[in-house]
Amino acid sequence: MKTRLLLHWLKVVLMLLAVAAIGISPKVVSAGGLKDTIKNLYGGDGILLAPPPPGGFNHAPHFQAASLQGLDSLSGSLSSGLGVLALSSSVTGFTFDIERGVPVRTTESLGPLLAERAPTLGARKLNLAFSYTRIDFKRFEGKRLNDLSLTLGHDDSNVDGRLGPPPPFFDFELDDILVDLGLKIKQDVFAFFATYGLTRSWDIGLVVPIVRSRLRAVANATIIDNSPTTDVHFFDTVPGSDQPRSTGGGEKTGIGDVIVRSKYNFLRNYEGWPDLSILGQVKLPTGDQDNLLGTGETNVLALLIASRSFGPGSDIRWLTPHFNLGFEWSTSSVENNFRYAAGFDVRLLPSVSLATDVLGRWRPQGNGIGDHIVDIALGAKWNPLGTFLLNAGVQLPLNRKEGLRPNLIWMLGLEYTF
Amino acid sequence: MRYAGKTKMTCRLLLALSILFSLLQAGSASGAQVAVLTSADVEAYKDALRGFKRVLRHQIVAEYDMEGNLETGKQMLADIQSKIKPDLILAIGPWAFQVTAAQATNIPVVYAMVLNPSSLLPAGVKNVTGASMNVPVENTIRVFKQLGSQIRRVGVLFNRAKTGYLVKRAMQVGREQGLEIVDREIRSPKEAIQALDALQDEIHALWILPDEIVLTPEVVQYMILFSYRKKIPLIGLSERQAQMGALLSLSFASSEDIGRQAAELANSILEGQPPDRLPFTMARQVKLTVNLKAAEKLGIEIPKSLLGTANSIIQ
Repeated sequence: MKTRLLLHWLKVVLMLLAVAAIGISPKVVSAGGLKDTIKNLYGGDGILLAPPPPGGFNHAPHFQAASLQGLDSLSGSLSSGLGVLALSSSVTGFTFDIERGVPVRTTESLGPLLAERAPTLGARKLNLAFSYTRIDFKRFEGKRLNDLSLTLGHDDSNVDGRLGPPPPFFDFELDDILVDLGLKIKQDVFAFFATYGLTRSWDIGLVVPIVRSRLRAVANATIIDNSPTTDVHFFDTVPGSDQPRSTGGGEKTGIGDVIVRSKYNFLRNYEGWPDLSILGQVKLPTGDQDNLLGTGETNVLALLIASRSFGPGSDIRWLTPHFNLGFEWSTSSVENNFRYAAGFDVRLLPSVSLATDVLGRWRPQGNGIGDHIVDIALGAKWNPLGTFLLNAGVQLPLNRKEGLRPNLIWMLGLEYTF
Repeated sequence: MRYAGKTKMTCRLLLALSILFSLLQAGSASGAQVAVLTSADVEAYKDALRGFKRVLRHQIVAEYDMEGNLETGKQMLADIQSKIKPDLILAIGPWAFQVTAAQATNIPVVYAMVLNPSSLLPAGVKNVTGASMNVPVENTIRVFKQLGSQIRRVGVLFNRAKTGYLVKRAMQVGREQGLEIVDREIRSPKEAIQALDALQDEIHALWILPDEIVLTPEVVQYMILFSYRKKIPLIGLSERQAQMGALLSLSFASSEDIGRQAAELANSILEGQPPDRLPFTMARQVKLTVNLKAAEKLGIEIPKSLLGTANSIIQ
């Protein structure tokens, strides 16, 4: 008994050490990673037009984008799109039949997919899970990613505080360059979960994601000739100048932001009240931010979880509504956010549950891009044998015009409780 | 002055002796070792274990949870016997009781939170005793008597193998109190309905016994219906049955207290009493639920003396 207990504790310590090791290992940062793909188009120094004839005025470096219209903050937007599977809770438990004097095995729904429910795993139980999530980003602030455009304005060459005439010679300042930009951004996340029940009411968990990010950018530039008298801007094939078309991107795979979580169930089976738990979560900046594998920030989440199971009898409780509300602090105050989720899971067949959740994240001090993201998640869980579960689900954006969003995120998972 | 000095001296001596005595007692208390086997992870069993720990004067060295699995329980018991070798085993709940009672062992076993233990105990087993969840029949008979002198005959359905001993005891106590127990033995829920119909003109009240056959939902529902049809009071086993329509219910009130009762038995055994000399105990804290809605429908006035002792009243 004591040896077993010791082994359990050893497992826990090893888990914590693994988290610490990942947390303190040096990050691989490469200059000009995937994050800078768009910035690095056209050589990274703006669009260089054809050089002037000898003695002429050099127009090559006069165009630059005043802003990349938020596209330079891709890493934060990418990582915030990911949902994290719920910490598993026991598939079955017991209630007590006072008349017969026997414990009765309860049949409950199999739990939500991405939101949390209050019950914990159970003392000295270990749950191992794996999930695969595929995200194909399609829109940025409501605009389709394959049909974006950037306008590069001319600079104020004569430094008179305005673009264009007088004198007529400077009306070339009115010209613009329009860049049609097509982006393909995809992420595959392979996440490994371990949850351990320290006591009947207290779980700790670790999530290690392996992320593959792919980004492909294709840009086509067109000169918009707005000057009535001059015609000085043009692309050329002379070496040293840029071509109207530029491409960039690549693919990176690596460890994402590791998450350490702990859930404590402080109210259970109390008449007239839902079961209540508190969850604390730390997301460590272990993912390479420059290559869109992590956010580069440390986040701490505190979440209140309420859920209650209902059913026709004390032993059959097939419907579990749940509600989560919390706040996440980030080392970047812009990323501080409120989290909420509401939904239910329902056991339709003895071994099959369906779950649905509305999941939201609101950044009160955000930068105006994707500050309030709301998704709906729909999924199913199948319990073919013992404590083995198979999960499948999709996540759909409810407000597509906010931030960097896919049309659909789909996920598959499996888990086993020892 | 000399007298006062002597008194002071005597007091000091007595104090020193009492400290020495308590130390010796504490030394002997930590000598005996107890292992715990629990049937499943339920609150009621945790409460019972808490009560047990509060009263036990000896040391608990290991706690096992069978998680509702008899095979796991057998393995755990083998582990307890071969590795822990305790002086006593506490078995909480019916499955732990079943596993420990079925194994040939010299280690004394005390159980807690078991209903009808005598029906589960194999013949010839002498090293087992414990604290049952049963409400003493005396309590139920007393409540029937309090309901009024019109109640002279109380009907019960039972299965001899499970609750025969209870009926026998109820008849004995009833006789002493001037109450007749009219019993009908049944072997299936189907028989229960026929047996009840046969009882309809013979009884003034009905009593639900903690018997698996009687407790099937259809039999309980039929008994409630029967009670309303015949306008006779029904005493159930739980607040739930009172909520379903029984006039009254009597159930054990505290798992923790049952744990305490088990610890008292364990203390006695570990201090030299043989288990077979210690009869199993019944719940000493009992919860009475009164359903006033049912009383109104049945046209029965609950005496104030009875209402005053109710722990829960359904308005």
